[in-house]
Amino acid sequence: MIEVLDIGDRVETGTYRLHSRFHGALAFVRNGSGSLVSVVDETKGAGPVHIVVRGLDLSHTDFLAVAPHTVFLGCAAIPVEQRSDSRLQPVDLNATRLKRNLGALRETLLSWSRNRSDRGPIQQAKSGTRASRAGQGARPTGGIAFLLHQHPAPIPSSAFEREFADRFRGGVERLVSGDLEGASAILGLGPGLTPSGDDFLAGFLLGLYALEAAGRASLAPERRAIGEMARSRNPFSAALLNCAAEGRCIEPARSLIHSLFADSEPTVIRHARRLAAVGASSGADLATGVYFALKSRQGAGT
Amino acid sequence: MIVEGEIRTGMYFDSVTLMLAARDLNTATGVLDAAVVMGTKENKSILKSAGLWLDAFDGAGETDLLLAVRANDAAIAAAALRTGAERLNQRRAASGAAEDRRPVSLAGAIETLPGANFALISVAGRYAADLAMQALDAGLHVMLFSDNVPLAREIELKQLAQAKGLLMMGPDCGTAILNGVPLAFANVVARGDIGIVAAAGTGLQEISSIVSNRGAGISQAIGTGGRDVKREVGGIMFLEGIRALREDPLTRVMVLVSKPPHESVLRRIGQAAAEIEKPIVTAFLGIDPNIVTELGMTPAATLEEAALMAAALSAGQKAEAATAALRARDCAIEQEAIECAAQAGPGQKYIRGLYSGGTFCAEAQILCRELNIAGVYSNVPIPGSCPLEDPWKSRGHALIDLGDDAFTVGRPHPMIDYSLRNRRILEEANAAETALILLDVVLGYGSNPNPVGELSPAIREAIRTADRAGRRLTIACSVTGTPQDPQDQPKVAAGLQSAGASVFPSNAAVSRFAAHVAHTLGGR
Repeated sequence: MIEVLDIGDRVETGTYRLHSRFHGALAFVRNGSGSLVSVVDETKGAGPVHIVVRGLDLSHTDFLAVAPHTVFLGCAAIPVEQRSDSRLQPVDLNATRLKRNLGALRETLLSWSRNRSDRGPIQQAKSGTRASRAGQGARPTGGIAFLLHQHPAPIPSSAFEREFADRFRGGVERLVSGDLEGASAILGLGPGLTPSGDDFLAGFLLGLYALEAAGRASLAPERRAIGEMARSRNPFSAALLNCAAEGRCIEPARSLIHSLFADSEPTVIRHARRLAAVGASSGADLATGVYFALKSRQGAGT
Repeated sequence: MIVEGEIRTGMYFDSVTLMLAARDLNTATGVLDAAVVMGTKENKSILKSAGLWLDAFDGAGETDLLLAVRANDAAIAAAALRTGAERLNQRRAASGAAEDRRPVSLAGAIETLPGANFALISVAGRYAADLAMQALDAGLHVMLFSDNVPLAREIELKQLAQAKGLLMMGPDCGTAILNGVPLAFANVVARGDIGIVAAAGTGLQEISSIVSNRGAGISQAIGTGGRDVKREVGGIMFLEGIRALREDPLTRVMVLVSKPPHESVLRRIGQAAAEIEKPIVTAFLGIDPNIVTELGMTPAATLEEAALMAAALSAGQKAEAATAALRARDCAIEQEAIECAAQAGPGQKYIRGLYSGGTFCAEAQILCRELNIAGVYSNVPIPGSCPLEDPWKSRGHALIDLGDDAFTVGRPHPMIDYSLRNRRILEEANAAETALILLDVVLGYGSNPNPVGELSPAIREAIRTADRAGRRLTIACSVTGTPQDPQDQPKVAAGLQSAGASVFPSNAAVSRFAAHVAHTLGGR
């Protein structure tokens, strides 16, 4: 039996055409608007543009239509009771707790990055070859956690990675200092189906939204301005950024952000690890964006 | 030192795969630097700065994947690229990429989906019959969307299907709902205990939508193609459909829909009905209801009435309950029509119907005939109407099926593409003799996804045009569909109303309105 376990609140009604297939996920774009919906299995989890299904052979499905109370997938018509709410919920801001939890998030992301670099496929493959010759921790697998180093980060051996890191760092420094053009410098930057820059910006937008929801209303113009700048023709990035600008995100990101405001460090670490496990580095890159938004804007006016 | 690369367009890989491909490139012997990135402006800029640029990358877009390698010589770079490409290809095969799995033959499709028992065929007419024959030979039920299949082949296909106990829906079968799955042009309707056999596509859509909107539901809706009830075909599939519904435990009420079947076919339907205990409502549009009653079935005068009767029976009520309610409603419509006609100028004498559904066009003619309206012309005339020799030019009370072959050669069906009808609306609005323009708007899968957006400008412009000429033009329509359709029926109805159209609850209602307008205009 095919079941729809969850359907996101940004899944538009209409007919869709298959865009691309991934392991455990199908991406569809809506006829007309071109907006993206992902049909995913349970391992991928809920999100604003996700339809989470059980019992469906994704490798043989290429038709999707969404009606208000029914999802048509392949030859199956599956009733849908209600949609999940993917928007970040209002939270209370306790500055001391947030500061402590941001510290825990930072350490978790650095630890994740080190693990990826130590055990990740690049380093394994490179041991004894070019990387060891350079003696450096070159690492696209470690995402953009180099931004979190308090001491000078290792210098990548690859010209591409050096250039990437320099530009990214420059863009983030501008953004954090209030120069919103930094967002343009990061948009579309780096590896990944959704480039790392897009993941970071999505996290930054979510961080701003969370602070607004916690009473920092003065951040709304900045969030809207970045949301306007962060337009992408890549349907995956567009869906991610559009949702983030509205405070909507995948469930692991929502849990982490809520946890940063409301929970103790062990819980934050657990949620951070869970988010970092999404994609090659997408989850970690998004979490890094959240970190920089919260850290740099938590003192904003109400 | 050399830089080599490639652009992959229209292919998407998850980030892990991209990372692994980048690793493969970077770790290949002799490679100095490499990258696998999406072709965003920023990434192109990095590739330039990092010495990984190729002029060919200039033309790549944000959704293209760029692979770039800098190596000591061309052979090393080419080998590295091959390695990276293999990684991507492996992942593509593992994830069952759409294009890899898209079969190019019926045999391939059966291999791709073992256990399938149904084939929907939509190919050029000259290939359609052969393909349908193959599908039947393979033991598949068939829905043949294609038209232009010779009559002799249709008979051959249906006889074979009958012998094998399979459904052969079509040719020219545009809609069906089997086990809750809408096929081709169909609406999103509730499931229930009302089964439909229809030789009239839009008739099936109208009835299933009204049934669903009344809180009842559809068990199965079997299309047969319009020619099935003609003498030559003998109603082979119509009778098979009736048999299937008789045996279907989910079906408690049956509705049969078509233009009047040939007398011999009607007799066979009557014989089949006599053996069925389930109540049967018929919408054999234009037939003498006494004949149907004598055959033991309940006649409905319109598609709407058939739907409401079936819904009443499904709810354990008598069919007549629905009829009584309709009579009261129709009195109000008559009054509205008289008021509408009174506002028309002296030169405004005619109604003009521009239909996308052939069944709707026939139903409107029948309701005009009921009121003895003289001078009704149509490109698909029923007995009593006059043939419209030039379908591109209206004459008298013109009721035109824009889905007829004359209009659809080389052009999408008017249920999908409104451009032809929009032009015709403006032409009719410009004619001083036009008092009322009549439209059907059919929603559901396959139909135009944005009816309000595409029709409203034409409606507004038509009304403005008449206004400027000192005439009051009425545009009236029905919207066939359900709130669950992708277009959302109530939303479309509200949108068209905002544009200035009068929206009626069914084709029968708006046709009755138009017939009364024509009747009143004729009596002035």
